[in-house]
Amino acid sequence: MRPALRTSGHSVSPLDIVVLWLAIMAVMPLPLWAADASSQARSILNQMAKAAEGLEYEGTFVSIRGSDVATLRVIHKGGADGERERLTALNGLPKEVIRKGQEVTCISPGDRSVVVDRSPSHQLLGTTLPQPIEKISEFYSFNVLGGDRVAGRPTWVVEIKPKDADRYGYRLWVDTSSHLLLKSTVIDTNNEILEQILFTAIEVPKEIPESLLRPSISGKGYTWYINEAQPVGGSDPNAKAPWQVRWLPRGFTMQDHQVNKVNKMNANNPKPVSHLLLSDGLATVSVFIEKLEKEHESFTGLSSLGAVNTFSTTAHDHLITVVGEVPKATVQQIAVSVAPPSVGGEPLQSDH
Amino acid sequence: MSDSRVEQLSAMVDGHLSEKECHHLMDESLMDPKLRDRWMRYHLIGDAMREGLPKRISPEFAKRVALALEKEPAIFVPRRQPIFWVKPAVKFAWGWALAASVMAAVVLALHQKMSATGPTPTKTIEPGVQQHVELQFAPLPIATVRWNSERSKTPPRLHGYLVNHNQFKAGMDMQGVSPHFRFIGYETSP
Repeated sequence: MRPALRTSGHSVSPLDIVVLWLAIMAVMPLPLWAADASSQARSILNQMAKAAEGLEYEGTFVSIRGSDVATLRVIHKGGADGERERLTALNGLPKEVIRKGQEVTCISPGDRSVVVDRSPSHQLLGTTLPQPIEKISEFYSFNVLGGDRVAGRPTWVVEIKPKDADRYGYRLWVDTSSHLLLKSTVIDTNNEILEQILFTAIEVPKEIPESLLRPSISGKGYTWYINEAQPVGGSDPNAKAPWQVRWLPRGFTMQDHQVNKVNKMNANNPKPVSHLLLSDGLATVSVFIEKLEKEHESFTGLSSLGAVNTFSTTAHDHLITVVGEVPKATVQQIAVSVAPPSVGGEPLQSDH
Repeated sequence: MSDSRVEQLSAMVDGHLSEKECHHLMDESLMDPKLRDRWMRYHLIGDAMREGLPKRISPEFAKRVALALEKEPAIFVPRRQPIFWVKPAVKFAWGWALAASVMAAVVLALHQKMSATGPTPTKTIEPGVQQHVELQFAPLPIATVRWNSERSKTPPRLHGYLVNHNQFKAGMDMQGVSPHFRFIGYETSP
């Protein structure tokens, strides 16, 4: 028998309620629908950002960037001593990354090298979303596209759409129960996927044994490189003023400035390189500035790799290279706007 | 042997040298036994790192292979004479015969496939007889990340910038996963 509600002598069946609901939705203005989907999306993203804290899991994920595919095994352990992690490349050479809090060790058997990175700047930018997500709602809109399945788990599909053409969009697949991010894609203005990362298998065991976090490659007899780049500025009043970036898309601010030696590939001839770090909370852009040399002459121009675009130019006897997960036009515009403090003047912002 | 030669040699083993530089260095190593020795040693180390070496290997292996090659008689294959004498009618008959045998083979194969009801019969190995297949494991050259660039050759410095940039990448990577995964994940695809 069909259950019915009885009011003032009239019976209201569930079918009547559905018809009434459909009628209300039909006359409701579109922005109200959109607002609902947007607040739901923001709620999912905020829960996702919290789920990252103290997370313990082991899994395999695939990263696709342009025509390159990488498969990696990850073992991640949270705790009072900070986050610890072991990443192993499952394709090609068995490279490994071991992370203990702020210290990251990359072991490469191919060139028999170990790179230890003790840069304190990892604290400035995490690999999680800005919290609360509303901080970036001026530059991005949020929407729930529907449901899907990743690594055998049900997920919400959330879209983060840029409000201008200066940055890329994202689609995120978030586990409906644990709120873990299981898949993410970077999308350009033509809705083309530029880069994606997805878990193919993931487990959340009760406890991850310590032995699983130890590297399988000892690094004995390898060449060790220690990177202890110190941020310039901050508490040091004598620090040299950084170069001026005179044009930036809206919402981008300087997160960090440091002088370091560009990685081990130039270890034979290390030269100081100024590194300015800019972000709008989602996308990151790096500006590298170094003294111009003969070898740099053929270096200028655009390059791209998946969602990463770079543009190099020369100015004031320096080589300026902008690297970031933003459109080509954005890296180019940023690069040509970089000027030394004496020339720079007031930084400009996007006129959107 | 200068340090720069050693560095160049290491770069060549890692696939970071241009084709022209490789040729030049190879020519030099033909003249310089020390350079040649080092080249072989680097490859041996590389193979050991990639676990590409067999469990047991005789130190005299290379010598024995060279000796065996020397003893091997040179085989000269006589040039095949064209069959001019085949008459057109015979040629036609040959063609039909060939086509008919191919058809027969196809029909037989199809019949076997269609009538098979149980699992595909597998080759049985007699007990006590070990089948030993020698597979040569030749590691592919290691390629660096493939940039889509306006330049014909992307300088390694750009790769260095990317590594430094990735360390600080915000936002959209997997939660908690160190952005260094890009550093180890993409350098190994040939």
